[in-house]
This record gives sequence, C-alpha cells and structure tokens, in this order.
Amino acid sequence: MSSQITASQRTSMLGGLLGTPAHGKTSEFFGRYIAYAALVVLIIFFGLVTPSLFLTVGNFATILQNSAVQCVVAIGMTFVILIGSIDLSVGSNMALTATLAAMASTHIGGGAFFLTPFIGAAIGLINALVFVYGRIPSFVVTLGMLSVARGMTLIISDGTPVPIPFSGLFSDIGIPPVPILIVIGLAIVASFVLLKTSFGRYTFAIGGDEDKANVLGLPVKKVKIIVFTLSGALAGLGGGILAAEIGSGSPTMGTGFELTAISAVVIGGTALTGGRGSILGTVVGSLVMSTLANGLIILGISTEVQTVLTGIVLVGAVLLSIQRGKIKVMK
Amino acid sequence: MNTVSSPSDTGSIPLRTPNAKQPFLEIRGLCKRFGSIQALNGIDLNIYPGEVLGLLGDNGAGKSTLIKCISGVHSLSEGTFRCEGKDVVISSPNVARSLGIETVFQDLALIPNLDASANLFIGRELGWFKGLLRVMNQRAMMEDVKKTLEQLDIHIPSLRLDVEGFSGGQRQAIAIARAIRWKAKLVILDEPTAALSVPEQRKVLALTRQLASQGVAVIYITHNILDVIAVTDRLAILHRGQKAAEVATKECSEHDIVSLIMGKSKKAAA
Repeated sequence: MSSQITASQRTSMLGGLLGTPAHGKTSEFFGRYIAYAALVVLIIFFGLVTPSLFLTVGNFATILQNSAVQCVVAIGMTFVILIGSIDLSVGSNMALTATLAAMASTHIGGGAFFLTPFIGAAIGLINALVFVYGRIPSFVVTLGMLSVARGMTLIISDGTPVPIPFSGLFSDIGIPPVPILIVIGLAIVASFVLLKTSFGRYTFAIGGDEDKANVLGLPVKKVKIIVFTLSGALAGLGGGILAAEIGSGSPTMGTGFELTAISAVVIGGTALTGGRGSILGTVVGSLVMSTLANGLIILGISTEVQTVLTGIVLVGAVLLSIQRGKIKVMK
Repeated sequence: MNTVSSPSDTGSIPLRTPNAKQPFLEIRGLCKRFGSIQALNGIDLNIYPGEVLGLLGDNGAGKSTLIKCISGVHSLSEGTFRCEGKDVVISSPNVARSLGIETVFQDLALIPNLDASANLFIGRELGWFKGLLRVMNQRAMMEDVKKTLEQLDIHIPSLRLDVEGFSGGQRQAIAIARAIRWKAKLVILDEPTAALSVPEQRKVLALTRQLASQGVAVIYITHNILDVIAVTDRLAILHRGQKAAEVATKECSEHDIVSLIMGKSKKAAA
C-alpha cells in the first residue's frame, strides 16, 4: 500500500505532536484551538486595558463562579452535540427542576439539592425515549419539551419564585466555592468517560457516521438514551446550583440558556455535525463567554453590547473552524 | 459427484465439492422481500472453508441483499441458515460476528473520525470492566493493530490519524485487516478492488488468496472479470433474485462468465 503522506496528514501529525489526538485538515486544527486562543486574547486585551480591576484573583474567581452553571449544562450539551443531535430543552429543564427542588426543600431542607440531577434526568429520559422510539428529530423533541417544561413550571409555581431556605450551601468560605469544585470534578469525569470508555468512543462513532455505527452493531439506541438523560441530569444540576445561588426557584430562570450552552460548546471546538470535540474545549468556550462578559462589565459596556459581541465571537469561531469539506451542503 | 439442483437452476452443472469438505455455511430457500419487492427468491448455496466463492450478477440481481442477510443486517423473509452443522438465525450483525462472519462492505464501514486501531476494535474494545463503561486499553489495541498490519505487510503512515485521511487502498487494507484480526471463518468482500489503483488491487487479491489458504471461507463480490479469474475457485451467479448458475471458475472462459452474468446459461459441461 502507498505510504505517502498527504498535506492534511502532515498538519494532523503536527497537531498530534502537540499532544492532542489530531485529525484532518487545517481548519480542524483551528477548531481545536480557537477557544484557547480567544481566551488568551481576551485576557491580554482586558489585562492591558483595565489591569487593576481585571487582573485580580478575586476577579478571576468571579469569572469562574459566573461560568460554573453554564459549564455544567454545556458539558451535558457536549455529549448531545457530539452524537449530532441538539437539546433545546435545557433551560426549561433547569427551571422546572429548580422549582420542584425548591418546593421539596420546604419539606426536606437542603437535601433537596441532591434531587436535582435525578429530576433533570427524568426530563432528559422523556426526551430520549421520544427521540429514539418516536424517531423524530431531536430538534423537534427538545423544542417541544422546552415549551412543556416551561409551561409546567409556570403552572406549579403560579408564576412566582419559590424561595429556598438553603442558599447558605454555597457561601464562599475561602476555598473555591462548591460550584467551581463541581465543575472541575464533572469536567474530569466527563473527559475520562468520553476519551477512555467504550461509551465515549461510541458517542464519537455515532456522531461520525451513525449509519455505519448501526451496521457495525454498536448499541446506538442505548447510547442516545444515555446521552439525553445525561444532558437532562446536568441541566437539572445546573438549575439546582443556580437556584441555590439566587435563593429561589424562579419560573423564568434558564430562559435562553440552551443558546448560551450551545455557544460554549461550539466555540470550544465541537462540530455541530458531531463526531469531533472535547469537554475541555467546552469549558474553555464557556470561560471565553464569561471572560468577555466580565471584561465588558468592568469597562462599563452595556449588557446589550455584550450580547452582540458574544454572537460575533460565536460566528467568528465557527467561520474559522468549520470543516467545509465535510459538509457538502450548508443548511 | 454431487449435483446441486435448486428450483432456480437454468442449467445445473455437476459440481465438484472442493476436497469433499463440510460447508461452513448452508443457505436453503432464502427469500427476502422489501414490501412488495422480491429481492431474493429461493437461494440455495453452500459456502466452503478455504475456498473463494465469487458472487456475480448484474446490478439489482440481489448480491448486496444476500450478503446483508448473511451478515445479519437484514432478517430473512423465508429460508434457513446452517452454520458448521447447526441451525442458526442470524438476527443481527453481532450474531453474525459471533459465528465468525466478518463483512467488508463496499463502503468499508469504517468510522471516518476514528483512527485505525479504534476502527479495528470498534464494538469489541480491549480493556477493563464490561459493557458501555468499559475502560479501554488503548495501548494494547495500538500494539495489536501494529502487529496485525505488519503481518499483512500493510503500511499506514500514522496509526494516530483518522481513517478519513487515508487513501482508498489504505482504508480497504484496514477494513480487511479487521476481518482477519478477528479470526473470521467467513469473510465477505463486496467489490474490494473498485476505486483502487492497480498495485493496491493486486495487494487485495493477494490478501484474498492468503485468507483462503488459511482455511477461511471467502465470498467475493465483483463486476471485474479479471478479479474473478485471478482469485475465485467457484462462482455463483445471481439473476433477478435467483441463483442462475453455479460453476467452477476453471471451467469457464471470460465469455462464459459474461454470459452467465447477463442471465444466459452456460453450455453445460460434463
């Protein structure tokens, strides 16, 4: 067999030398690293423009704290996007789970927090079963759940926030706050599962070519069900953390969260078509968005402008990193 | 001498059973319908170890459907399989693999965004613990792949690259190496030399003969008459979902083979 190396393979081997399991063309090279580059650029930029306020330990802690909830949800979203699907229900999931947990906390106290991943998982499981056995697009299933869960939240809460008596759970006591620890632990476990287990490999395989995955006898249905349940569980957990931070389960919380979660995943280098991506990338993508918001706030720039810039960063990241050769037709 | 007769014979020829071996797989009365379309209509066929059976026929004759039935992708509408003397139902690709049936499909069924060792071991990863949470032993799999490829004299520039970056011939080699590594008893090759360069084609033919010489049963689908003559021992020709003829390759000229593919029967040989 020919052993000549093509140009794309050369680029990949360079990426491989940099310690990542690299693949394919130059744009993928960018895709992997665009989030890291963006983060470095942002830190340098804000560091130069407003060093006294930006470059402090306290401020970095604030950035991490602010990105924690989004990170948790985005990690779940990473798995979904890796298999080539989407979960639009995470924001509503957060609200419903948080409201139910808040109601439970009036009876069982702070322990209600630990119910949140399970409540969220139940919502995710419903998505999963309709998606896999109903065989309709995940976009449609989760769009429906977005409305259903949000509506149910409004019904059971009568439109008013449900206060939680356990917000003291997360008070900063000098060591990294609990949410940051949760994110770090979650990122490590999720990364391990994705890179080192059969389940993780099948996730990539289904995203890469689901047809062939079926022919090869991989447990595609099982993996899909687990992925959506996981996304729901982490959305629920994110809702629990957010509720603990603001002190109540609010029926409007999490609105639009799915879009920021998807943005974090995409900026982090995960392809929307599936099959390529990483947990670390998602975490960095989330940090990029938080750092951007943080720096703009310090500079006194309005939140509206922040929203515009975040959108530009998202589109810019995809422009640079998308592998057009792989997607013949852009929809 | 045995005579293979089936309802679909259009000129049955006395068939020499190679060394009177037991067949690895016996197919009887296989029918497959897709809705109102009858893709296969009563196929009777024996597959013998150590023999390359060429499966020929024009487009739409049912070759792809037949091998998909054998490899568990399709269920049978009617008919039976007997594998190594035992009745079996090949209900899924995993069942086929557990019987020792490995298929190299025309599209190779390689996952494009995974590397060579991932593809070789896909669904059967080496590692610790069971099921989906199996922690993979990537180093062991990498070593295994290196050895397999070396034994087959296949050169891949880097085992860390995704297979979609490889040439057609390299990917074909990985797909065949997968079948060989799992000690298949029956390897099905679907148009393995289509879209390959000449040296790569020769390599595939050599690998095919190597498989047969090791006692593996091989089904080889092709349109390429030169491939047929170079590598097959026996031919089964399908025409419109039925077995039109079954002949030993040696007894056919190129002209005979073309006629059989087109649905005309061969002049019966004594």
